[in-house]
Amino acid sequence: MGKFEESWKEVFKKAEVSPSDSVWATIDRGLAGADGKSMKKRVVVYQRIAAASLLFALLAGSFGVYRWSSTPSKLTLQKSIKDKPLEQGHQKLVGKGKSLLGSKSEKETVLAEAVPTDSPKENESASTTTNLAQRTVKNNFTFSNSIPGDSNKLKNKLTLAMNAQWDNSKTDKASEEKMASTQRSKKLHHQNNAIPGLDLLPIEKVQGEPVITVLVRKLTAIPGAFMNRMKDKTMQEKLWASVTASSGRFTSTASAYSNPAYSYAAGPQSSSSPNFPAVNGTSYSIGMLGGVRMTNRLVLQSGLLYINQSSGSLSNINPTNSLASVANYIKTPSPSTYGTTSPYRIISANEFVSVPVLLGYLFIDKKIGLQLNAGGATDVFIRNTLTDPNGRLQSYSQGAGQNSPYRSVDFAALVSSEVSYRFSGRYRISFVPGFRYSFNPVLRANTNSISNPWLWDVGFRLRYIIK
Amino acid sequence: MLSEKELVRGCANGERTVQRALYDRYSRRLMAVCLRYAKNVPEAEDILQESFMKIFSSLNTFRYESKLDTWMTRIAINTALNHQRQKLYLLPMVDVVEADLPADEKINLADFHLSELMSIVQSLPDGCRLVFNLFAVEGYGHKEIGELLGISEGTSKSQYKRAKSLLQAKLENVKCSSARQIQRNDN
Repeated sequence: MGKFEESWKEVFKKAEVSPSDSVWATIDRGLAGADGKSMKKRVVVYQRIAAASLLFALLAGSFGVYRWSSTPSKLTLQKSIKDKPLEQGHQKLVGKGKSLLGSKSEKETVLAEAVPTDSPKENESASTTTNLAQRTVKNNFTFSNSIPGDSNKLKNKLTLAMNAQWDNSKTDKASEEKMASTQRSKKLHHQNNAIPGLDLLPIEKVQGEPVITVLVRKLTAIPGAFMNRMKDKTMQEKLWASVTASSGRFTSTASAYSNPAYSYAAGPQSSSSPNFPAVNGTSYSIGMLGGVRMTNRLVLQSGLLYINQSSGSLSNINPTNSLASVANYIKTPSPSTYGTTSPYRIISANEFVSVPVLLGYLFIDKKIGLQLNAGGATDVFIRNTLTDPNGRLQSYSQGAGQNSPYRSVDFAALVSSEVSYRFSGRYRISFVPGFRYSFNPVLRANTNSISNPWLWDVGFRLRYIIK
Repeated sequence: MLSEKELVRGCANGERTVQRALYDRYSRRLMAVCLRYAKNVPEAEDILQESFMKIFSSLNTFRYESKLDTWMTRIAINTALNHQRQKLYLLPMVDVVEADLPADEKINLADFHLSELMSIVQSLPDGCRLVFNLFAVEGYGHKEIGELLGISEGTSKSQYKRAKSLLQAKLENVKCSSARQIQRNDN
């Protein structure tokens, strides 16, 4: 490279030319647009996640409801499959099953008590296994030849579909009593050739010697009772109190001058430049909630929460010894009255007391629960505190009030879901991801605050079930 | 004063104050670069805006393998070249007849003001200006310039010689007119 090139290179090496102010203004607009686009993309992502969660919740809820409603009939089916078909000669019924059991529906549950006729051994065996049974009878009883030597007269055989044993002691006792009764009936039959309780049966159509005592009790019971117990179980959680804690992040649009995420710090970079806020921060909340079940699936929750939202930012307002001047700049943001300095970091924290009201829908209400909540919250502003993370400048706090640049009351929309697990009978712990959107900026309108923050958080909730 | 790392981190996080701080620190230097490649100030400002948008959007990829200002200058040069490529497509560079160049020693750039030198460079034809900036100021070789601009090495050389000749002639003119001006003022 010759002298010519060297000299030109030297001239331009440290050359500096100031661009016009419009250049930054255009860049600023471009950046705001880009931030808006990224925010829109983020919102779309959140919407998709919410839609997917809702879909999942609906599917899970539908599956749960299906399982819940189909369990008894499946139980019945299983038991009927397990049951051995009653053998001829072991259990023979005399009379019309239909008239005995009634004909309200095609399927009726009956408790059948079969009395063996021929063999005492078989009778014992049968009595120990299927002496008390739950029967599902389709349409009517089927009769067939069952008494040897009298096939033309008595062709009745009852086919029972279900034979389930009772699983509680009360039922067992009843069973034993019935068995004793059966034994007595048998003895009576052998002695007198008569059947006790025969007047219940349409025996006039029976010819020959009846040998079986049939169905002494109709049970309206087992599946219905079982369902009742299920119902009672779901209705147990009618009133509860819970403690809750959550943490998360909030983000706002690029022009978020005023909201709980507002970066108070940024002051005038130059006489022509406005302040520029941070765009995200962290949040945590703790509090108590009470809940009540309004209907089988709808619940209402409300309570009191303490919310702290803080964000780091930069300021170039000359702070002297404390951050009061930065706070004052928020009150009266006129760049000309504040001196500037090199940007320095500060942390701004907003504190609120919030009263949320949430309406929830229970998709799954079992030991593991799934609930979707939506509602609103009234946020009462407590104070804002500016602090220097390096500790060189004195912190400064300012509360609500007429002279405060902060709104005293804000409103927010809430959406959350609760995935919960019940333990120890009285407790339920929940994992609660949720969103919060503030309708009002935290700063008053005259401070050029124009955007509202999105907040997402993840929390845990411990519920004590009162009744 | 924020450090280079703080600037990069803040800009990558989208903190507008930091972005503004970065702009304040480097915009004048980059404006000078853009002016050398542009025909006039508005065009240079367009290039500067576009360069900063690219810088802000790609700062999260900055790996500190070079100095931040070097990296930013490279982005500005590439942006300027993209601008000029459109013109070069319409008016492609061709080989030019070599002119007799005056000796380097005759010109002392220290006698000129920066704005004068900038105007002289801007007055060069587009192709000459690009090759001159890339060869004389940025230090690229003619082969690299050829690859960058999609021209042959020979074309780059001839364009550079033409640029050098024009510059020297313009410098002479400016020098003479300045001398005449001084003479008039003395009289």
